[in-house]
Amino acid sequence: MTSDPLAGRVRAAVETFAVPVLPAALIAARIASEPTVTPHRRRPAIAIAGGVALLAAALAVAVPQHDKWLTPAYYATLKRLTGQDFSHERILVIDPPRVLLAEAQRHTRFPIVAPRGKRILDVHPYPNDAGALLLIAVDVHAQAQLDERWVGGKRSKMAKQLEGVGIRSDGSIRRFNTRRWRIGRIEFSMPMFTLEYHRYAEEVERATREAAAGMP
Amino acid sequence: MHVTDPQADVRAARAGDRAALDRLLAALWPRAFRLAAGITQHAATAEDAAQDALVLVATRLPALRDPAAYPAWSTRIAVNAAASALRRRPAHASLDDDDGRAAPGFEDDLAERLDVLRALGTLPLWLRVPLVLRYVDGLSSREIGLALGAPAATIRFRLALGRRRLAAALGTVGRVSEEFA
Repeated sequence: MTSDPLAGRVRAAVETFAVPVLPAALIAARIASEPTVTPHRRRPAIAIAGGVALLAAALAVAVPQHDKWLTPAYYATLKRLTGQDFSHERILVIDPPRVLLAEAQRHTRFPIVAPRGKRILDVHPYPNDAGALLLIAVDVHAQAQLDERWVGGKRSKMAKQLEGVGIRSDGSIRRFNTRRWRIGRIEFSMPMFTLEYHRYAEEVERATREAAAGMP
Repeated sequence: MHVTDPQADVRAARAGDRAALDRLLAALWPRAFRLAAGITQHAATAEDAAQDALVLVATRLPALRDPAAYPAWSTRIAVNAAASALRRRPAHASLDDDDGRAAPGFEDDLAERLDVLRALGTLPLWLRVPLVLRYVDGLSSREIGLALGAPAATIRFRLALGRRRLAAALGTVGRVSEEFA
């Protein structure tokens, strides 16, 4: 027990409550009605040994130097687009570079339709022939810039989720392109529907269908 | 008087010995009630909490791996049961509602005791519980830490802070003894 002067006062105060008689019958009845918790079974030694052996075997397997989740097709796309071999690079993500339209059309295996009357700044082809995004200059004025992103070919699912524009599962293109404004360092982005983009999307759909059917 | 080793009783109770379990519960009952009374400051609530604690100890004892851990384990169950009962207790229940459950012979300094209980009730649970375990159960900081799952240094800090706040509260709460003077 402690010699703290408060201890005696607190103990005396709590002892104000007389300890009632143990209601043995009531508690026995409650115990009988409650489910008893079963003891945790110990993990058998053989399971632990097996786990250790599996872990050792997994660690002993040689892994390639590059990250395994980047598929060979990804590296092939990179090589086609950049001319460099990245297959032995230990990197997490290599974003394919933005290239000129002609270069992108040469390296991708799906048609990229150039919108008429638009000045394409650059094209961002996605890995694994997953699609391409066209960056189109609309207006550049001093510190302000307006550009548009048009889906120039099929889009990857992730890119569609990110930007809300792209090709649906039935092959049709959503009729919204993304218009971005940049004023100084602040960028605004908004999906927009325009008749011009609607007609362009029809053209891209037709080109994609024809390419799939093997037509020139 | 039949005195047995609590650890032997724990082992026997886990093996299904009903008499050993009864001995454990009978030994735990006054402790659980006093802890709950210190935490809840209400006799009926404390009795409910002590009953809950005993039922939990009896039903979960087979899952206790180490019999040496029984004191801390049962203390933690008693404290948790008291805290749960405190949360369930109606907000209007107070010390004054206790219908004549005070132990006999305390009438002379009952007002002083009510002052202390009220002051204790002003402390938050994280300060009140270590103080009750120290003052009522006489546990060391290490034992309180084992029961509450906190380092001994943390318990020492809580005890010091709780003691300071309790002393301050005892100086500021409305003193029943003065009101009656």
